[in-house]
Amino acid sequence: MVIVVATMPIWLPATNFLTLTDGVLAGIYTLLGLSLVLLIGYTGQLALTVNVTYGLGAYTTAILTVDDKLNPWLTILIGVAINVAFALVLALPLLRLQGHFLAVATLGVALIGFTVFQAAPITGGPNGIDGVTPLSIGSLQISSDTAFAYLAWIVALLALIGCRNLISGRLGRAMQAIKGSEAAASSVGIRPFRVKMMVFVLAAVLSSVAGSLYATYTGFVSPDAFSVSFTITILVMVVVGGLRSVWGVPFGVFAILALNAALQTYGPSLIPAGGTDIPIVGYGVVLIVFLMFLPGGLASAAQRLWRSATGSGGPRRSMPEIGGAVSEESS
Amino acid sequence: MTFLFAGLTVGAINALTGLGLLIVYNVTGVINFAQGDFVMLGAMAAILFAGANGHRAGLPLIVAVVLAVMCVSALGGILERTVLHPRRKSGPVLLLIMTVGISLVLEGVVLVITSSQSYGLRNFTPGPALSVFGGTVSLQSLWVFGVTGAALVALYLFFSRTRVGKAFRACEINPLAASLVGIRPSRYWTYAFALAAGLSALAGAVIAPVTTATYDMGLALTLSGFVAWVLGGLVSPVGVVVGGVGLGVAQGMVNGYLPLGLVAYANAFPFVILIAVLVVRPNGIIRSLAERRV
Repeated sequence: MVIVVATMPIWLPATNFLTLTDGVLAGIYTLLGLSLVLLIGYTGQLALTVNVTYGLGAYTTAILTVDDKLNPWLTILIGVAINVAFALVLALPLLRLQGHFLAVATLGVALIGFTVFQAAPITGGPNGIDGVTPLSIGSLQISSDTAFAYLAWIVALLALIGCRNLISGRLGRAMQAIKGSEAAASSVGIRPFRVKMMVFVLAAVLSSVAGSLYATYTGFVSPDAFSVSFTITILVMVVVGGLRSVWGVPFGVFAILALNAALQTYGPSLIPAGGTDIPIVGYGVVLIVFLMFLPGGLASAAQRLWRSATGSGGPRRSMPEIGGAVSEESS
Repeated sequence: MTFLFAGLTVGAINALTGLGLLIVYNVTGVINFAQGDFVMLGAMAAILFAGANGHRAGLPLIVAVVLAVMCVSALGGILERTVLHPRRKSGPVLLLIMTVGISLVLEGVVLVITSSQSYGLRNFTPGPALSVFGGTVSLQSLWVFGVTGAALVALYLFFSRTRVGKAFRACEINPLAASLVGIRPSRYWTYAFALAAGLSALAGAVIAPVTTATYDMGLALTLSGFVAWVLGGLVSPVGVVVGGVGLGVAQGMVNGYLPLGLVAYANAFPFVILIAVLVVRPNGIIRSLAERRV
């Protein structure tokens, strides 16, 4: 994995398909995808506020570096602090809702957030904020795509490893117990509300960092990047990678970015009338096809291949954290 | 007064969309995120058949509307059969994400065809707006009220008087018991989607002359319908109608009387109500008024 990332500036443009910009975005989207995997895949909380927490991080960095000339590194931390506070306030009422009512309520939050980004005077409205200060280490400015790709992926790898450890640890087991049954979980001494709250805050932190990185990378923040459909896009990536797979996230992200690039390139020649609007259809089709035929995502497919290749039969549930177990939830 | 009529028009559409959500949810336990897209499809199909406003004249309006409702209704049933049905044991969260996928595909296909233009439909009856109680109300708004009312009466008769309608209610109350008396609950999944899609398409067709139709109108409609549904207490159709109309009127008043500085936030208003209701009164506000299920 480290080698794959280290050589990214070489192989990614060599595909003639994806650019290094896609590589940087993939690192950022991996952070966002991880937040959804923790929330939806492992804890069973269909919370769809990613665009808001991501936007909060991005706008915090943009506003504080442009208006107040603060150091961008510092603004990442401030963004995280704001997001933690926001998540705590939001979690108190919302996380008491069950299943799809949580989904609908959080979607409401997502829409309110988007409206506020568009309307609040402090965000620059639909025009957004330009001229975000790039990050720098000492006198070395991180502004080239290559440098930023490394930075984004170092953060993404740390987050991947962190989440991996989290899942196999005490909190991770508590999360999965809650997903199975909150009543059963509380009967063995887990406090479901506290665990859900921690996951919610953690997800907000991940997407806040992603938002701040995005703001310093593009140097420009506008509401279009934080619409509800962006949350849906990340959801599609996570479903493709495998809702219950931490390492599936980067694969899902790259798969969708590649699909997007392919549809942008070849779509118009296939369906001339559609022009560049085709990706949205592609996302929907991919989402449905994966949920119908491969609900465990690429991760479960890889696992199945690996098992048939090595011939190690074993019980199917030998690795409960990966695989098509999403379909087993019956609540 | 004018704002009140505008609000009532929106409210009627909220009510029909909310009823679609309710019918699907009661029978299948699925929250259909594509419900608003069926409204959009109904509007688009009616425009397609009748000819866009100011363009070539197509079929007579009444034929176009009936055709649109039938096509969208069939599409709803087909989508349920082909996409959701094979995975209907997957649990509500997965099914909900699948309806998000359906919504993306529907919006995407319409986007590709219309390339994000908005289309209008001619008014059902031409003529100037009427003055009533010191406000103005367009003739098309009267059509919206009339059609919504007729649809509600038809639905009531359908659920209370016909065999199929009673079977519907049996599936909601107890699918297992229903299957014991020869009703196949799984088949009613398809019927529920078809009925709800047709209802939404009807809403889309009558509202098209007022709001015009764009590919991305669906999500906001779904959520408004959802607010109506939640306000109405989740199980009662009467509650949904009251909730939908109430929300519409509130939206109309907000749009009319909000101070200028806050107008940009008006879009967020229904969702603030949605969250407030979900958090404070998850059983709905109007529940005590209407305890009966469909």
